[in-house]
Amino acid sequence: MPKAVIVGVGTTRFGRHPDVHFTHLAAEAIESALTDANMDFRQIQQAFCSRVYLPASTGARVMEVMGRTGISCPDVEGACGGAVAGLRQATMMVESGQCDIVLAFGVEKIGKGFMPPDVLYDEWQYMMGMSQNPQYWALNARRHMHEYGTTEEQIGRVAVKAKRNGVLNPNAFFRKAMTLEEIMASPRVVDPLRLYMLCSPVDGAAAAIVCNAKIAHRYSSKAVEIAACIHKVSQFPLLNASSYCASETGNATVYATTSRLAYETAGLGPEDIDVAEVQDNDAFSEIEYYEELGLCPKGEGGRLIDEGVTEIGGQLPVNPSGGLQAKGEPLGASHYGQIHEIVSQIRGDANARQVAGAQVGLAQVFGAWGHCGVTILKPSW
Amino acid sequence: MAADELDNERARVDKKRVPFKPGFLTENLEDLTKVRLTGSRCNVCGIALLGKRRRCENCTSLDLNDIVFGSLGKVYSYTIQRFAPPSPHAGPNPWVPRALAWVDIECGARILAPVTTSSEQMAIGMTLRLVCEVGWTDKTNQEVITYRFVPAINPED
Repeated sequence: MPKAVIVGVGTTRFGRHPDVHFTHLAAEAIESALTDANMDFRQIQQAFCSRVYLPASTGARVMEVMGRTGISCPDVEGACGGAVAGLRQATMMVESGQCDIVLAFGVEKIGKGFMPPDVLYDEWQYMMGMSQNPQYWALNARRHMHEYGTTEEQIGRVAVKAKRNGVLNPNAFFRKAMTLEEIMASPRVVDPLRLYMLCSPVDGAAAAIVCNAKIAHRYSSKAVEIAACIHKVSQFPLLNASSYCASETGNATVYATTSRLAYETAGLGPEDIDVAEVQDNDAFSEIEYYEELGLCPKGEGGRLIDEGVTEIGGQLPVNPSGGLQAKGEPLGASHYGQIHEIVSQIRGDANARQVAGAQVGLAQVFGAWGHCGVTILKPSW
Repeated sequence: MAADELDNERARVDKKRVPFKPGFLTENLEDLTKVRLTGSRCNVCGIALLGKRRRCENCTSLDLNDIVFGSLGKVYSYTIQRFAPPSPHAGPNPWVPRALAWVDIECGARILAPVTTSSEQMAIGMTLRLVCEVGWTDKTNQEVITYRFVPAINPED
């Protein structure tokens, strides 16, 4: 089976781009990935576009800007996990031998504030006021505090780390360091979560070029292998994101099942991960994902942040990019933003954010209705 | 009673009531004190689900029984919504902070529900009681019946 590697990555700045049409936003990220891979767009044999709030056939519309070469470019939607579903398709196309070069990209344009509720919720859910995404993270945080003694200060420290790392990331939306006192003094939005513990939905685009490893040397001397790219939709119950009934079954969470399959596919374990990007929609969720991805035992996520383990200089840096809390979240492009960071880390190109000796990197996303994705990358050279 | 009030009363009586989602409430919606949440129990895996289902969301079985949930529940986790949720919503304008909880209701379903109480009073494990009421009037002038929970002062009553 051919191996799939990434030979180019590109991204726009994540943030507000009110004057740029979404097709041009996507094109900026694609052009940047093509330049990174020293490749012409005509060499792309297949593309996948991920988006959530943009209109139908966003991918095909982007072809109008990039040039209609006649390739297939469907939209792959999966809420905040849409991009990993697209990357998985690209990976499988290369691994199956169907194509040698596949473009996987995501783009989003979205306004300020809470996201429009009718895209991801039923009418009765939003009419009852139960469509405020952070509500779920808050409910999980409160239960975690109850069961494991996790504190509001520990959650606050995750936000401090995110902001500090974001200052080092020129593509981040929020680039201001904040003290724990400032975080803890910000208004409560959904207890125990406060304003500066939450990410903002933003505009942005990012892209990755997936290539057959056999010809990757033509495009990059530092191709990064896709050791695993897994996407799943949660089993029952889903105690998160758009769910309204979550009776106990004893089933493993979608974060655990997705990451386990990713580790198994890659032939690696959590102990092999040198750097990770996780879905920190809010500061608490990052603590939860330390545990769910097996980076620490259940209930010990708070200890990791207290001990500085997940800082850029720590034993296992998490979200060196600043994560979604600093970058903001352009839903359809979000996972490609993570891929951009992990590829940069593995190549040693992450500048001030560089994690020393980063070889194996993991990126994880989670979205409404239970989409979860985990990608594991490692050097192919 | 003034004539216009009579008209309003007639309009109220004539108004058709519908559940917030078909199969999620008992059928007679006239006496709201007797309305209960309904759902399905799977005869294969034993899971209770809010809303009448064709297949079990957990194990895919088609072997389900209709069930009517009791009116009491316990808080599994909670938050306080300090800011108004995205519009449209049927809540007060301006918004008043409100609790939202995962509630373990009798018969074993865990459901998401608004809770009317002070934020100081909310606690994991506290016992709640179901209230069904008119949530809003829809585009076709039907009253939509919804649910929330309140503290159960005397849960044994």
